[in-house]
Amino acid sequence: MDFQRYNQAEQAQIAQMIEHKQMKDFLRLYSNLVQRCFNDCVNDFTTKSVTSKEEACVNKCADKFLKHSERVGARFGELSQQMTPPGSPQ
Amino acid sequence: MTAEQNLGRAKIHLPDLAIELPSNIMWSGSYSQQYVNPQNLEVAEQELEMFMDLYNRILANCRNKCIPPKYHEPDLSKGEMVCIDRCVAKYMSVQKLLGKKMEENAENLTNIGSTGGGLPSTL
Repeated sequence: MDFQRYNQAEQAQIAQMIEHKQMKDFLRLYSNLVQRCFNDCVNDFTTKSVTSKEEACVNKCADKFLKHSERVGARFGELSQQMTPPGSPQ
Repeated sequence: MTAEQNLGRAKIHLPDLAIELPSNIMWSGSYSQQYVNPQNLEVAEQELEMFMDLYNRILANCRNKCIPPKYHEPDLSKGEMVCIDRCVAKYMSVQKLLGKKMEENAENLTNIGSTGGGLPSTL
């Protein structure tokens, strides 16, 4: 994704669009995280409050997910840079 | 005399203007005078959507394949890390592979369409 072929005014609008989309995506990521961790960790409905075991599990789940997300992002970035042909203008 | 004085004043004004305006905008004086091509914005938006969609798919699929639902510790284990690296690389390779395959088959599909195959004509 190179932005050099757009002029300044277009780049400004595109940057705004990217910010908007990233925010939307972050919210989606968050709701996915909650769903996944709830499904995997919370299975005890004998009590209304979250047990300490469930809380610990949910914390670990969230940490793991965030680290996973970070790692995928790093690899994805490296690989997509490789995908753009070396002859393209930068 | 007055003409020269006017000229003198003009000389004082013009250099100031030249310093304020950037050279590619010249006399327009306003940033928004640059033309924004809506088609370019659409193309950029589509490319961005595709990019983000790909990223989200990789994230979900590699999580399902590499991270088991038993959470013993908050960090990724070495095995999980290696699995994620390989998963991302493989996903991108498969996508490239299938992209090429689709390109080849796209010609076949259009040929079939033109010779009357596919959907029955009585529809």
